[in-house]
Amino acid sequence: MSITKDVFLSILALDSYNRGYGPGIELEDDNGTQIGAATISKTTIDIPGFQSKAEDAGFYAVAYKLNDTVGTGGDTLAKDTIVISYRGTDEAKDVWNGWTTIGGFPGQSDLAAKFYQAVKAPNPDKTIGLTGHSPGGALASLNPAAAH
Amino acid sequence: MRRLCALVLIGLAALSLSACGNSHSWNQKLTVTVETPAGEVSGSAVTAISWSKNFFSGGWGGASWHSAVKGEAVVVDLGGGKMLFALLSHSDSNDYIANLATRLVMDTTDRAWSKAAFAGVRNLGKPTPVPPKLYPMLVTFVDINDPKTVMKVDPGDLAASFWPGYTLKGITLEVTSEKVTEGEVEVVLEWMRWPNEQWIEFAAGGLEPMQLALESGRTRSLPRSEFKVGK
Repeated sequence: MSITKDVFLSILALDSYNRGYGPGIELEDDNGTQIGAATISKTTIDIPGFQSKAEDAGFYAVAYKLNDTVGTGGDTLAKDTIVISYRGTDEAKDVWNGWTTIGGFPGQSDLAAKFYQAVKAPNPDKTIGLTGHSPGGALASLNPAAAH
Repeated sequence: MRRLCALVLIGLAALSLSACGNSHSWNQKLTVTVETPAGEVSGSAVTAISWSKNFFSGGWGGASWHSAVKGEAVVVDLGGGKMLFALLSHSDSNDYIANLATRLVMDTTDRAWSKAAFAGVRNLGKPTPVPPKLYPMLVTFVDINDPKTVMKVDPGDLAASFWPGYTLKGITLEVTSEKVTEGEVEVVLEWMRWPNEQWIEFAAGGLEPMQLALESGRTRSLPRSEFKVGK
């Protein structure tokens, strides 16, 4: 069964709530590494020296690599595209560090940019898509690193 | 404008009150004992655990309870320069140490955040054996000065990582009034004191320097926060 690009990105946006520290749903074996055509390639735990800062700020993100084309008709994400999903509000510290992103304040937005750069650096030629739910969507759409 | 500010302040106050409606906290001591040909050796570490009901659960996407941890991994000095570490994490759970006491009370590997689970933690006033299914992740280093040489230790076969005759006698947990262990990990792992910039430079490859091979065939990054966490 095919799935539209937007639905798939929405699923990845919600998937970031259920991985890493403080997951919404805890499954066995670190929740696996695969969701549909997407395989986890990097999370905040993989970036050197990043995890403590991320947890302190309530930030979490996952980068997935697509092992197949996703989408229907002409609206697709190509195989090998990397999608970064930013987690939204799931704890009180997100109010201070995440909701303020929209006002241009640093905090999670800085971490979102650093995570993007850490994913982009070893993959300079790959297309990187961003997704996120709630403030995670703001981190995706206002990401200064991706804007360049 | 003043009315808007007042509304925002009232809203934030209500939010904070809702967020801190229910909480539990305690100090716990994890002790790892190893049987060696020369006798038993053990190491302990006290961690501070606190749980609070999460306002941002359910429809918001968060878990119903959130934890905060302060403490360090358990260090067992086996002699001959070899150290065994019981980490704050576990291969199957990123919030291992925070969940250990309630899981032990309820004898489960699932989440145990019920009233009975939190109430039961108070009964762990003496060392209580931790069953193998709830063991922490055990690691050691081929060269303790090189974090890249980290390797997982099989709790059922310590001899494979150390020497013949070395076995894990047991792991216990108790709730304690002792102070949180601080500074012991840095005594044996000098690189824990490196500033973040030095750690990033040491990584040099874009991934955390410590990578663990798991039984599943996957590789798992091991951030330094799994040896020491909290301020």
